[in-house]
Amino acid sequence: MNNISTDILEKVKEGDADAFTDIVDAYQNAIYNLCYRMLYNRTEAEDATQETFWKAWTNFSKYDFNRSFSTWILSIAAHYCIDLQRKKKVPEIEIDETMEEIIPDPIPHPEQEAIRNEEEQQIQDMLNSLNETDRAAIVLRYWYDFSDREIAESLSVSESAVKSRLFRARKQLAQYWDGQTQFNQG
Amino acid sequence: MDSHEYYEELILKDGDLSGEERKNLKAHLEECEKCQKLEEQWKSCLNLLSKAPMVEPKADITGKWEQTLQVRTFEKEMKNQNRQIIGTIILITVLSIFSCTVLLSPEFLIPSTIQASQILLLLAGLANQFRTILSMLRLPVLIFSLGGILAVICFVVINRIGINNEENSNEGVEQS
Repeated sequence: MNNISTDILEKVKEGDADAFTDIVDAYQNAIYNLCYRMLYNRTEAEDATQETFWKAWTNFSKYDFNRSFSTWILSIAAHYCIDLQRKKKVPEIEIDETMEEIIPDPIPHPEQEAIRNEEEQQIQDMLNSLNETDRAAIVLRYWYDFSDREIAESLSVSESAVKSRLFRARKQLAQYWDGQTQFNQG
Repeated sequence: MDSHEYYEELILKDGDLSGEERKNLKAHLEECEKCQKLEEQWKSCLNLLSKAPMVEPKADITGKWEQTLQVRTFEKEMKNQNRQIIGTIILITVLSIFSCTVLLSPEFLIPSTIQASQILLLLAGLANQFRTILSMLRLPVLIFSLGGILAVICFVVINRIGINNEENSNEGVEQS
C-alpha cells in the first residue's frame, strides 16, 4: 500500500480530480482486497471499491490530515461492506461458482493451483463464519497489519472492544477449523 | 475467570508472551488436552492466514473510476438543479397561496378597501386646497406671466436690431 504525499491530499481537498486518480491508482488493490475478503464476490468487490472511492471523494472535506489516510479510506470500505452484508446477509455461494471465481486464467502448475484454490476456499469459508465486524477486524489485522488502535478507528469502536472482538474471532476461527477438519476426515 | 479462559487468552494472544506466561502455558498444555487442541487449531489457522495473498482486481479500476466520477458528478449536478427548480416552484406556490388567502379573505379585503378609500379622500382634499390657492393668486400670476412674455419679446427684438446694425457696418468696411 503506497503512501500518499500531503501535496496530493491537499490538491484533492481543493477539488483536483486528477490528484484523486493518483489515490485510486495507489489504493485500488488494498481496497479491492478488503472488499473481496468481506464480500467474497469479484463483481461486488469491484462495485464496492468504486463506491468507496466515490464516498472518499465526496466526503474528502471531512478528512482530518492528522489521521492516517490508509486508516481513513479503509475505514470507509470496511463500513460500506459491513452495511452491505447486514442489508442482504449474503446467501451461500455454490462451490462451482466459488471455484470459478478463484481459478485464474493461466494454470502453469495445476496441482499447485489446486492446493492454492483449496486454501483460498478454506480462508474464505473461515472468514464467512464470522460476523461482519469481526471479519473486518481480522482482515485489517492479518492483511493490513493494523494495530488495535487503527482497527478501532477504522471500525468506530473502542480499543477494548477490538481486543475482545479479535479474541472471540480467533477462537471462532480455531473452532471452525476443527469442525472443517473433522468434516473432511469424515 | 476460570483457568481455561486464562490459558485460552494466552494461546490466542497476538504478539509474544512474557517468560512467565510462556512457562505457565507450557505447564498447562502438558496436562490439558482441550487447550492443546485449541493451540494446534489456532496455529493451523494462523499459518493459513499468513499465507493468504492480497487479491488483485481483474478490472481496470482507475478507468472505471474516471467513468464513475463523470457520470456521478453529472447526476449530482442534475439532482441539485432539479432540487433548486422544485424548491423555487414550491416557494412560488406557497407564496401565491399565502397571498391569495390573505388578500382575498374578508378580514383583510374590507379594511384594506376602507384604507384605500381614505387615502383617495385625503388626496382629493389636497388637490382641492391646491386649486383654492391657485384661484386666489390668479390675477397676480396672470399679470406676472404677461409681463414676463412682454419682456422676452422686447429682449429678442432689441437683440435682433443690434445684430443687423453690426452686419451693415461690416459690409461698409469691406466695400471701402
